[in-house]
Amino acid sequence: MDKVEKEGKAEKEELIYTYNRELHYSFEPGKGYTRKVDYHYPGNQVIIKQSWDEAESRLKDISSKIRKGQLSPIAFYMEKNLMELPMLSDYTGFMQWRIKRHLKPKVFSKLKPGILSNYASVFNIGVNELMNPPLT
Amino acid sequence: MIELNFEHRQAGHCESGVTSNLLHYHKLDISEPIAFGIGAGLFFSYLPFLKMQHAPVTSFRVWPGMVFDRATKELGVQTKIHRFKKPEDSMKKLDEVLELGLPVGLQVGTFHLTFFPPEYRMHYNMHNMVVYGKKDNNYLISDTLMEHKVEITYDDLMRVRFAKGTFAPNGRMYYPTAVPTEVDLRPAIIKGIRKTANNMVGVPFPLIGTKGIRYLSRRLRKWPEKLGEEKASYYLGQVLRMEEEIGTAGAGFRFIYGAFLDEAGIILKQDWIREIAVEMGEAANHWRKFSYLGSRNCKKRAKPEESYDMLADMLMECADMEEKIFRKLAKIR
Repeated sequence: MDKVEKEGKAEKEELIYTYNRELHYSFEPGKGYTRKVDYHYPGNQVIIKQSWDEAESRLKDISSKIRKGQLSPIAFYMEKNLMELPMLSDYTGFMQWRIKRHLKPKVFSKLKPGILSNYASVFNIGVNELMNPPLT
Repeated sequence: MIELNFEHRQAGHCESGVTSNLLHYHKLDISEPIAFGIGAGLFFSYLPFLKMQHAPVTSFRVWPGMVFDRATKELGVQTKIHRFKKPEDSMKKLDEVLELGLPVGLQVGTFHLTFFPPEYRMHYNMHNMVVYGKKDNNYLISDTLMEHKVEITYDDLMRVRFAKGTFAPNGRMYYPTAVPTEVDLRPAIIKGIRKTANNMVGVPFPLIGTKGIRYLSRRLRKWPEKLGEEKASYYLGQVLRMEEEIGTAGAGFRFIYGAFLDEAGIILKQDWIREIAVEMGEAANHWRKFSYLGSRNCKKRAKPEESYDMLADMLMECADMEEKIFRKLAKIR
């Protein structure tokens, strides 16, 4: 455990989160339990970052597919909002198979304004932004 | 404008913290670990058929809402719990209860939680916080994760209360209405420990309790060859995120549970429980070591001996330690 803490400090430059301190519990043999308010344990920040990096690489993947005309912009915003089909279906009220169709560029280009604005409001953007995603 | 005299205290785990803080407002003082222990919050389950963020779900705690429900029931506290279909109704009810002078606990999703650190804003619907007042269009929030009290607008609050997805909160709100000032904690503590011991070693199902830890260990050992290095590392990261990320107080609630056992031993005047608290602390430190070495793996900085094999072995050791602990605790009376 000692070794863990020392190395943890050396990794401080990797802190991605330094503006809110949290309460942490710890245990040391002979000393018992202590509570301490401190910044997030640096070792953990790596795994939080991993999740965001992974999301970013999925987004890149989708962007390139949109450029090739294989997917519609809805796929981009779905990933940008870290959503999967069942969740987007809950938010929009559209059935999953319908959303799957909307992911096709050909179907997307013919969508009615009402449907587009539903998607836009779920993604918290304007319809114009929905049509022109900032591809990465 | 309403502002109740609510004391903001940080906590390791959101729901136990909220429970403890709400009861503190009603002049019943129990610590966060005691709330967690009486609510029998500790658990383990590995659910490979449920995916979250593209990886299987590992959980170190019981279903959301159970800690508050159980803890208040065992302590003889009267509570009200509401869920809603219409978002507007839920906000109206919230205002009404605040008018009565009662702070309210809310279950919310974290993705749109505006005051939350951006890195934490993922779709996680089991977060809990307290509303203790309203100023113009803003609600006053005490969130145990945050260092200070915060505020959120009407629209944003409605949005997080109706987040969608797994464990959607549906505007769930809960609050104590009548709280006794004198409570004998002993029977509640004993019952809570028994419940947790049963959950951990008494259920004949392979995916939960210490059996679940072993199951995960066997799966984890095979991940690199079955899934490939990249995906295995992501799956491992997911386990570690559930173990160490926000609201677990570290090591998948093991520290907070150990602190509970320590306090319980004093209240029950049974020294052997305090000895087990020490064993729990050692198990927690072992979990922490697992997550530290695991995260090196995720960073691709692992030495060869820190492979998945070794991590799987460590998990087995954690399971052994916990099985010993809970077999002993099951005999409490």
